[in-house]
Amino acid sequence: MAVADFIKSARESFRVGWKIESNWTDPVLFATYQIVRPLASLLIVAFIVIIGASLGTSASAGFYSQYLAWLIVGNAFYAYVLQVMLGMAILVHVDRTEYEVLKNIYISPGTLHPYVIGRGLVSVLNGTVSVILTLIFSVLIFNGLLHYNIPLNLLQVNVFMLFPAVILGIIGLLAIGYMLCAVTIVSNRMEFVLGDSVSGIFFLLGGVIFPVTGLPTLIQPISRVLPITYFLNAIRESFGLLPTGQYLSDLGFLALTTVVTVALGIGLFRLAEQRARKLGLIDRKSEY
Amino acid sequence: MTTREELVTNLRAAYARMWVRLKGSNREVTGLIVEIGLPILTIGAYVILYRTIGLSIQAGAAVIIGGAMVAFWTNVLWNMSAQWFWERESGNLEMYLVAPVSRMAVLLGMAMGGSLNTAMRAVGIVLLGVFIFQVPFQLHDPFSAAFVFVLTIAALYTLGMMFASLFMLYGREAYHTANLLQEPVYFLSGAYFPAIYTPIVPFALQATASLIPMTIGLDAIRRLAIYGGDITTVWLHILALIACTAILFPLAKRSLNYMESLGKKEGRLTLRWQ
Amino acid sequence: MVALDGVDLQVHDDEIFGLLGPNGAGKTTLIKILCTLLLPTDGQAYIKGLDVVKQASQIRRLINLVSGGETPGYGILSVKENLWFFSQLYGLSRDFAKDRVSKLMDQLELQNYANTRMSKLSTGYKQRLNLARGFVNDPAVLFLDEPTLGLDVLSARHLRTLVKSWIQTGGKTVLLTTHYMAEADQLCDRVGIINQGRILALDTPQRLKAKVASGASWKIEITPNLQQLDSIKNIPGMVGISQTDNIETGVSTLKLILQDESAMSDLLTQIRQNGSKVLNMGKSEPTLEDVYISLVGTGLE
Repeated sequence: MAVADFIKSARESFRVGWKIESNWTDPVLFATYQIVRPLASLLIVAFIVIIGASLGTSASAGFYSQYLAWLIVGNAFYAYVLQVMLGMAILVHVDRTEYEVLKNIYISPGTLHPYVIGRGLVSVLNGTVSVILTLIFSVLIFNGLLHYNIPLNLLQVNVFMLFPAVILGIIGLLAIGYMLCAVTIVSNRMEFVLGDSVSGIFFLLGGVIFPVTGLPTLIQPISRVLPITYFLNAIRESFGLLPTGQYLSDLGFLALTTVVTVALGIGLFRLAEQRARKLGLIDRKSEY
Repeated sequence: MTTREELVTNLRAAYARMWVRLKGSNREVTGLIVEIGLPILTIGAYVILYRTIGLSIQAGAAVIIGGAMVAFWTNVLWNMSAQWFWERESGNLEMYLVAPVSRMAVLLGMAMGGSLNTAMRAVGIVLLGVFIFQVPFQLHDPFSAAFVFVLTIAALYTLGMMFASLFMLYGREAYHTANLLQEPVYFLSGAYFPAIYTPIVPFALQATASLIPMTIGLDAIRRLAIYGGDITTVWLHILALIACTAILFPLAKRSLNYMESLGKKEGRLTLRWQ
Repeated sequence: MVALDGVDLQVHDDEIFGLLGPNGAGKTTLIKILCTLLLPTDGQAYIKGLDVVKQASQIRRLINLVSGGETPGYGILSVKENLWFFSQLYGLSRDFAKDRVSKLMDQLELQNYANTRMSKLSTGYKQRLNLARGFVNDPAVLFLDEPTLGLDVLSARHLRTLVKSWIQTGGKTVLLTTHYMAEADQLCDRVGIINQGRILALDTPQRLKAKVASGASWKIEITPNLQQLDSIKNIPGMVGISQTDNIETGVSTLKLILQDESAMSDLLTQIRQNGSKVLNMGKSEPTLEDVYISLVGTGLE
């Protein structure tokens, strides 16, 4: 498929996906919806830390404010994980069972790849809105309202460190999203639990709310092969919350794990597509 | 139809709807694994966070109970409140509306089925949580704990019935609204940290949180199961939960009737894929 | 937007009443009002003397609704389980429900699928299950909203046979909506033709057709088709015309009702001027489609 056609298809898929995602309500409510969930999640963990600080445990006072900043950034960027996992897990179900357009997309010239990527990018856009708003509101709440003086200055982020990490991380997440699409195209009803399950695993293992060294020793190796672990590390380094000396190493591992994930994602998707075609699942309506 | 016949019909309908919920949910084994496994993942993350910042081991027990209760809230949101939305999308709502049964009877059946299902899962979550994370419990008054638990469930599902009436007319807003009510309620109710009687939490927040039955029930169960309290420590909670149910039930009925009437006037009851 | 405009009709006991009209005519809206799913903005409607607005709960004990193209139920439950569940919504006792479900499965030839999940059934068998659900409470009034929509010819015929034999048990009334003329003709004791929310005619199929027979009903095969029908409709003496194209053969069939047969010569002139050739022509027995054409001026398409 020519590159121009690929981009065109992906762009149209993105446009349709954005229309579906955003046209259920007015823009203000939509933006509110994008911020409320990630902010609430953040407040849960933030208050845990604040309560820990107030109970005067063995850690120093500076530890908690540093930890809060570390947590806020991790939790904010976890919105990408949540949006992409949930959005891409449900994608096949929505287009196959609800709108019944998957078969028409499939038999049109080209492949399903630009369609999946386009729709995945909608989740990325949703995630971006969530990330930005969560960061802004977090600083406003913790520094502005509650006066915790957390060491987080959004204007001092190193964008040259941030952007490569975000780009690579998103590619890795989209590749994992591909795998979810692959599973849902050949299964029945997994879509409702798959997104939550996978994002839940990343929440536990990805260093979102605690460093991966806090995990049992037996499980830590799993964290070391997940793109999200290096994604969040690199991002925290760009915000100056971790020593920047590790940045290139984390970026390198992020690139490596992303490449592997992309290869796995595309391979799995192709296999699933063939199997779905063989078993007549492309236009199957799953019912409960 | 006499009053007795009407009552029998409604009870039969409630039983049948409960039966459908129980049968349907337990036919998908993968669902069972995920409904227990997924909360364990989240609980695990919070327990490790507590340990990372050096909080007491009892905090882990609080998280496990919170995680189990979260399963009920999720069930109330998705399998109660949003249920009319799902029934409408699958073409079943018309069937219910044309049948000579009370909507409350159908919702009661959903509530009973949902709470039974979730209770089984909640027990699994607690047992697994205790086994994996080795957290201590001090349950001296199991009957009070069970009583408070039943009251909490009754209040929660009555709230779910009220939401169900609102969701009757929703299109995709139902899905998004249910999504929206997850994390904020986990936060306000202190599912993963004690939200009330904690000085650090602003009073306004505590007051708001206390309006949610789950907050009150969670706090009461934690006092009984973790801190070894008895019924005298939770009598205020019991009164609050009874009051919740007493207020919410007639509200739910009124709301349901009103929304159904509105839907019939505007022709929105059977509109799909909005 | 007005969906129903001054609809005034009465359906008798033990009758299959058909409401015939194109998509968007108001058939489903009327059924929804009668089933208590929708409130009328004006006017009154009664089922067995009960007001659909004020006595809805009493009406629901007497009715049931089967909509074509939809299969309410739970895919994860079997046919038998689904039917049992529906029976409980009508308060049937356990033993009675079991017996009723068993009989319905026999009547609708669903016994072999009793333990099959609904999600695994073909469209035809899902619709049979849908019909069985409609019979489960043995309603006094059964509403069938385009019940054969999406069914193949054999399945549709089978369904019509079932409805006919059910009503013969006595004390039953059926209100059927359809846009299939032949279905209304075959099944209904009386037919109401509805278009744009208005009832245009109401009588038995035979009497409706007899009215049209007073005008001449013609069938003409031509090739190629007529591009503009409007000029043809304006020919004096022309009551109505419809054109159906056969893409495979390139032959179009004109069905027309003439008040005055002298219109035929003008028509043939127009056909020639269009560059079309007449392949076959002849008078035909009036059908409900002809009735519709004579009332509305165009075909159901």
